[in-house]
Amino acid sequence: MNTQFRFRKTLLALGGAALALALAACSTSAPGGEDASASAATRSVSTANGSVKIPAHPKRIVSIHSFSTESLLDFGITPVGVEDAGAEYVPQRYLKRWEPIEKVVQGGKVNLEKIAALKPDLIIGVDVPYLRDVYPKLEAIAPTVFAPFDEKSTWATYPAYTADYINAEPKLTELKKRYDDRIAEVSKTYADQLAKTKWAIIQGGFDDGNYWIYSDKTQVGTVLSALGAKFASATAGTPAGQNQSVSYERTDLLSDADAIVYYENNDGTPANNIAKLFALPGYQELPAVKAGLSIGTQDFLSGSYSDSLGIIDSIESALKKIK
Amino acid sequence: MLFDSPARSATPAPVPTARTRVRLGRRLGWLILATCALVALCAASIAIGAKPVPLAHILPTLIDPDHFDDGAIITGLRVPRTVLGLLAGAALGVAGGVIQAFTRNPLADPGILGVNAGAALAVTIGVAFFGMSAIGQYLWLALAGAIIATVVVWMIGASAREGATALRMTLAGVGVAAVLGGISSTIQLDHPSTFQKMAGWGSGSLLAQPLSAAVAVGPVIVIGILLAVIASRGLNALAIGDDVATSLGTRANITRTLAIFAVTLLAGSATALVGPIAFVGLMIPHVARAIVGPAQGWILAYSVVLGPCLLLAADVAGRVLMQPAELPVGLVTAFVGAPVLILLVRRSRVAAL
Repeated sequence: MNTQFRFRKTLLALGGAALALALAACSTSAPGGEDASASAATRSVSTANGSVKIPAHPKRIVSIHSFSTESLLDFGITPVGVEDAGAEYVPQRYLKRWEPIEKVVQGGKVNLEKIAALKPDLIIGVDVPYLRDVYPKLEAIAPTVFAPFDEKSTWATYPAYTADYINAEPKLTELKKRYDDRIAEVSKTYADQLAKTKWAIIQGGFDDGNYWIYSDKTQVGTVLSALGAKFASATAGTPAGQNQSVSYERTDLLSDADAIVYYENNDGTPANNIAKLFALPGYQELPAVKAGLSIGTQDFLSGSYSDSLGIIDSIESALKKIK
Repeated sequence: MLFDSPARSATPAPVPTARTRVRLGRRLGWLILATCALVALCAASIAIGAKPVPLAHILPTLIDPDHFDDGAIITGLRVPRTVLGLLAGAALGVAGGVIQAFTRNPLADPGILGVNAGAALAVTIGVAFFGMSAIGQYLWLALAGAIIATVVVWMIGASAREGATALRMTLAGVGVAAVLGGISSTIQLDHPSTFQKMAGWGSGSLLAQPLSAAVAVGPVIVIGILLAVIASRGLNALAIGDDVATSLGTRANITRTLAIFAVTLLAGSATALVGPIAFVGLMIPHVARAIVGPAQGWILAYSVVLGPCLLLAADVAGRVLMQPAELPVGLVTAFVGAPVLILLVRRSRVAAL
């Protein structure tokens, strides 16, 4: 009896606490209303889910995908919440700024409570399946804008959409010019090398026994195409925008590549399982590897102009070695 | 003597009758057949893969790896995974046979003592907090984690006066595994890249470790199998009940201790070598019992042969089903094994414990 009574008392106390919290929330929401009226001006932007009304000048942005996060940081905007797919994947140029930010997506799981607690006035993301699933719930917290993730999207889609959401067009134009100038410079300087080099793009993946071949429409592929590079059969034969999983036994698929670009962590170590591929005699015997033209880039999954400028630097380091 | 049934070993040796001789012949006959199947599967595991290698190249390559260009594929990839499949399959099969006899539960698998959960937690901690990524580091971490988890389960199970009974061990194992699994998940949630790496480890692969790991862990597996063989007679007696077993001269506590040691070494080594692979330890003892009935020694002998059969068949199937990609063996094992188990169920050949 005694325990039951105590249990009831605890329940009552908990109920009381909940009520007090609810009242407190109501009372604090009043000044919040004033804030809202100060930035009441809205505008409509284009998203993967159609036109969405967002604050004209968002102040507290939560970014739930690395592409939008990297673009925001590139434009000088620090979000109040970001995703965490692993610190080693965050390019060095963003790492110091990314680290202290509250992490609201971890291991592909979106923490809605954390996002709500941050009281964002805009949530930015990418229309990938695991985020698409929680879109209705995110929309209930704050205006939510996803950039499209389809066969027409390239890495450049994400800075373009993100710039639109936060009024950063001047900065976007400036970055785009830097990128275009660098593409022009490298493609001119290394025209001979680019003409005679066929590229393959790979990463280690996570399933033992397989590595992944990337298509020429993925991030590195798009930058290489802009430079006027040619592709080896493995990358050229992979469906647009995708990657295909291939057995370790099939390193021969890379035998016509003169240069190979792979994914590396921000500390320069090979990312994911690729060390296992590198250890195989079949890989070490490849012409590109023997020529020292198997090169890593931490910007492999670029989501911003600075990342793609980083890819150009990595490619240039390989081009320098080609006589 | 090794494969004698308990009733016979505890009483004066009976005169062999025509019936016992027929039974012995049948058991031996099937065992020889299973061994032939295993040899054929080893050959298939070396001959078949994502990259077609001419059959004529295989033998010369095994003798001299540099003889053909395909040498690296045969000696660098297919031979190691075949050896790992042999070792891990035998270990899982025998561990399954012991744990089912020990718990007297046909649904028990080697993971029930917390072995897989312990191995997974140790690897998770290593990857998340110590940045371990080298293949060799996973091996010893997983083995240590498996052993520590079982020791904890054992200490809990054996803390009562009546000792580590099957029921207490099973419940302690399930409880400890749940706690360890929870800790692993929490760490992985906080370290997303660890989550991805563990997802790869968790699907099990015969390519997870190099040949040197098989050489290092092989002796542990041999010791585990020997312990299982020593425990087999006592387990037969325990199947009748503790009191009867004691009256037959079996010391229940020693048998249980031996059985737990055997399962820990076997399941721990297998998990360290190839990751957590379910179903082999559950299914193989059922197939063995369907053939030989409830004679623990024979069940172990069959498990040593049939465990690798299932693992290698699954691995070879995984290489050809989704070309040019491979499916991890852990995913294919159930595909390949389940139809056999269902067939046994349909034909009422599933022998009770």
